[in-house]
Parts: sequence; C-alpha cells; structure tokens
Amino acid sequence: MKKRNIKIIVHKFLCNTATTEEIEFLTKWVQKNKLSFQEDVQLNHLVTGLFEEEKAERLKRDLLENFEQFEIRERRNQMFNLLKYAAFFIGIIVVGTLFYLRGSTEKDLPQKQITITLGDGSTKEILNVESSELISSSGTYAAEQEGSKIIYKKKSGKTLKNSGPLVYNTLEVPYGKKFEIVLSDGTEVYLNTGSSLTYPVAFYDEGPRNVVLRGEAYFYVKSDSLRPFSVDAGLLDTRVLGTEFNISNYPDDQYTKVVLVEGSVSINKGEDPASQAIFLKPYQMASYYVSSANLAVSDVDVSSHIAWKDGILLFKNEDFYRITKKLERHYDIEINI
Amino acid sequence: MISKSIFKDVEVSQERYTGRFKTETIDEVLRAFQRIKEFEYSNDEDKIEINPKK
Repeated sequence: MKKRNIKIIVHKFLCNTATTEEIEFLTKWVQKNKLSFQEDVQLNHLVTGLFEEEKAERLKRDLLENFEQFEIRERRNQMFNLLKYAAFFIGIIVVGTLFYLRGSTEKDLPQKQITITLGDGSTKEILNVESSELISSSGTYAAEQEGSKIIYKKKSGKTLKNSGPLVYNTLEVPYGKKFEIVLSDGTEVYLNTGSSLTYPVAFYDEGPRNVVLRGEAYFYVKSDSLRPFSVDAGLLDTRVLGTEFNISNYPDDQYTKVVLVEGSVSINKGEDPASQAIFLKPYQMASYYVSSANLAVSDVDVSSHIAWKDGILLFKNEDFYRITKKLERHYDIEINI
Repeated sequence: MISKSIFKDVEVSQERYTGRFKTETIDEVLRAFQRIKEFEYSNDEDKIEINPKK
C-alpha cells in the first residue's frame, strides 16, 4: 500500500470511520512503522484540528471501543497485541493533543509580552528568564533582569550631576502579567497587570526623582531627603521622601486612588499643581474621581488594595462590575454580561 | 489600557461580593460565584459571556 493510503487510513482511524479491514491493516503496518505512524498521527491532527480536548477524550473512548469490537469479532487470540497498540495509539493521541493544544494556543492567542522602551526609542520584549540578563550596559548605568524583575544599578564611584537630559525607559506590562522594577535609587516598584511606568535609567544626584505611572503600582520608595520622589499618576501627583503606598489610575476606571501603607505622602491634583496639597496618614486613601473633580480622603482596609502584589485577587464587598474589571486584567480575558 | 467589561444585566452587575482567590483559574472563580449567585456563563477563547440563569 502506498504511503498516501496509509495517511488516509490513519485519518479515518482517528475519525472513527476506518473499516475493520483497514484497522487490521493498520495494526500490522504499525508493527513495522511506529515512528512513521507517530508522525502521521501528529500531522493528521495538526492539519485537521481534531484535537480539541473534548474531541480527544471522545476519540480515546472510541479508539478503545474500536479495538475491543475488532478484537471480539476478528482477533480474539490477538487481544494482548491489540491492547498494546491501543495503548500506543492513546499515548500518541495524548501527546499529540498536548502538542496541538500548546501549538494552537501559541498560534491563535499570541502571548502578549512585557516590553521595555529604551532611551533611543527602541522597544524590546522582556522574556521571563530565570538567569540574569543584561538589559542595557551603555554609559554609567546598567540593568539586570532576574526573572520577573529588572534591577537598575548605579555603578560605584560614579555621579550624575544635574546637567544634560535624563535617559528614560518605559516598561509596559500587559493584562495577565505583573513585573517588578528596582530603580537606580533602590526604590522598588511592583507593576500590576495592564500598567506602565516611565522612569529615568538613573536619577540626578540631587533634585526630584520623577516617574510617570499609568495603571497600578505599589511603591517602596527609598528614603532620600535631598531627592523627593514624585509619581505623576494623571489625575493626582504624589510626592514622598520615603514610604510605601499603592496608586491605581487605570484610564477606564475614571479615578485615581492613592493608598498609604507607611510613612507620609502629599498629594496634589495633577491638573492643578499649585492647588493646596493634602497629606495622608498610613491606612488612608486619597480618591479623585473625574466625574466629581473632588479629592477626598478616607480610612481604608489597605489589604484589599495591595493584595494583588502577592498574586491574590481579593474582593471585599465589591460590586460585580468592579470584580469583572479585576478579573479581566488579572486573567487577560473579556467579560460580557 | 482599557478593559472591556460590557454590562447589560444591571441586577447581576450590582450584586456585591467578598472573595479571595490566588491560584484558581477563571472558570474556578466564576464557579465559586455561581454558588452564591445563579447565573450561567460560557468561556469561548477567553471571551466570557455571563447571563442570568434561565
């Protein structure tokens, strides 16, 4: 029999349309051509797309039934061999299923990657690698990647005077992922899913340390009395010396919220830097809603605002609308109700 | 970035819930909500459709 016919028989076998004679022929052929058969099976399923999980399960059941019926009718004395090959077929189907499902996921749902835009405007993907990787080594400063964290380091003995423009990087995290950045001053920033942070590769030795946030992030700001740290979060500007706080300003939320965990922060309306600053105490939240243009302060349970940092989805008496927003960002899905 | 929630069912969207999830899949999360609120959902390639239970 020609190779082409074998492929047809394999396809018919997997579609449960092979005749008893074809199964008998296939069984004999497989004894001598195991590798070819494996290749045919995988190709067949990659092409036909049969390997949806539910169909694969049905195929496995049908496969066993086929062999059992075939054995009963035609080959009682070959039961051991048939079951052996049934097991072989099932093994191939399971492997092929995993192979196909994995391949189809990569093909149909391209993975959105964390990206970094460098000072020269070029953008590169951040791959989640275990070993350290040098991101940029030009000039005085370098950054290393350790898994889902980038650490910017200032080389010893070097200083950066307040002259010349700073070089900025922008790190963007898509839905479904999180990332951590350690800035050159030692400040740690946890970026939540669907967020971006623009920051200088190195801060000046004196003067303000400014970063721009879109989305949500948790900050551990390294204390430095000579260099106040400022976060431009759209509707609100947050200024600190050294403290821990969470900022959320997703564009589709229509608000900006700052929750203070430790230390103190001052907050101004982003659109009106000259407005009188308000000061937060730990376990207080400043909220600014676009609709009311009102900056309000309230006491809060911080856990529900910062649990995301530890990979926890925490809802406390929240309406389903807010919950689905979090689910969409956390799982990178779309929800219609 | 803009999330894509679309609400047609006001009753479902105004329910308030408390919950904590860490390692669960989206299907496990939604099934957990189904224990306290009757609704049906479908998951077609990460597009979730939620409807009141008929």
